[in-house]
Amino acid sequence: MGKPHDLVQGTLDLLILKVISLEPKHGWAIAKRIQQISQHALQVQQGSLYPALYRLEQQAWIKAEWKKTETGRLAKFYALTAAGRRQLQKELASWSRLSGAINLVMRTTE
Amino acid sequence: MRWFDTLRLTTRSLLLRNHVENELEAELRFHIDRQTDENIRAGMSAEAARLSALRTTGSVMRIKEQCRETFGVRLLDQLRQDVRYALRSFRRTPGFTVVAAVTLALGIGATTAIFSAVNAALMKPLPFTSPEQLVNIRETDRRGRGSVSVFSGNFVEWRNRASSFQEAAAWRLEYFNVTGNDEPEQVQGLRVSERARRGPPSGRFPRGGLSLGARATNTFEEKPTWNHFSARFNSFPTPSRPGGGRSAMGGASLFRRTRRCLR
Repeated sequence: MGKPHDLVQGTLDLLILKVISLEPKHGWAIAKRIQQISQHALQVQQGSLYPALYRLEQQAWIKAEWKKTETGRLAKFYALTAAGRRQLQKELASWSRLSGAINLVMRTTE
Repeated sequence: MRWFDTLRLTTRSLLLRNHVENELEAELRFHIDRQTDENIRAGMSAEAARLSALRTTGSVMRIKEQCRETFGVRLLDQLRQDVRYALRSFRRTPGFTVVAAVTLALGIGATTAIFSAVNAALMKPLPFTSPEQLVNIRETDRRGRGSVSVFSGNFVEWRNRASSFQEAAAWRLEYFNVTGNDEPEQVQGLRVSERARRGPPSGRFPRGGLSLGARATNTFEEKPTWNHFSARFNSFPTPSRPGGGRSAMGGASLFRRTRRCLR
C-alpha cells in the first residue's frame, strides 16, 4: 500500500455526511472512521477536517453538540440534520454518476 | 429553516466571540489528546506520542484561522478594523478631515442642485402626451437673430393657415394686480390663449391642457390684437413646476403634427 491519498476536492463533505449518518461522532472519530473504512487509503488532514465541519454546520447540514465520550471527557459531537440527510442523498447520487462515468472512460479498450 | 440556523451561527460567532474561540480550542485539544492516547497504545512513549500527534495535526493556528473563515465573520471583522483605523486617522489629522468633509459636502450639494435644475428643466417631460412634438415658434430680426414678440395677428394667421401644426396657443408674461380683503398684491403670471388652457379638441393632449408654472394664469380671447384681450380671472393655481421649464421661454407655442418647422 502506497502513501495515503489526499482527498479528491469536494468529496470530503460527502464522506463526513456519510460517516455521521449512522450515529453522531466527534471530529477525531470521523477522521478515524474514514481512515478505517478506506483501509488507510484515505487520510483526512485535521487542517481540512475542522474547516469542513464548520462549513457543513454553517450550511445547517450538520448539528454540533457537546457530549461526554465513553471515557467521560467532553467532546463536540456532530450529527446529521434533516437537511443534511437530503444533501447526502443528493451528493451520493451525483457521486455515483461521476464515478460511473469515470469508470466507463477508464475501461474503454480501443 | 436552514437560513435561520446559518443566521444563528453567524450571530453567535459575532457576539459570543470568546466562547466560540474557546470551543474551537477545546475541540482541537481533544483531537490531539485522542491521537496521543492512540499513539501511546501503539507503544510510543508519552512524549513521543504527543509530539507525533501534534505533527499529524499540523499548525493549530492555521486550522483555527481556516475555521474562523467559515464563520463568515472575517469580512465583518476586516470592515470593523478598517473603520476604526479610519477614525483614528481622522483624529490625528483634524485639518485634513475638515477639508475633506467640506469638499464632499459641497460636491454632493452642488451635484444635487445641478441635477434638480437639469431634471426639472430638461429631463422631466412636459405635461403632454407627445412632448417631443411640441415646438416653440418665434420671430427673429432681419438677420435671423434674437427673439421678437409675435404680433397677435401673425399668431392668428399661423394658427389658421399652417397645416403642419395640430394646434397652436399663445402666451405672454404679465403682471396682475390681485385685490381682495387684504392688501392688493402684484403677482407675475401668464396670459395664455383659451385653447392652450383647455387643450385641443382632438383629445391628443390631456384634458387640462397646459399646466403652467407661473404664479397665476389667465385666459384671453383670441382676437386680432393684444390690446383687445380682456382679462378674466378664474383661479390662482399654485405653481406646479417652479421655473416653468421650457413652456415659459417666451413666444407662441404651436403643437406640431409633423416634424417640419415653421419659422
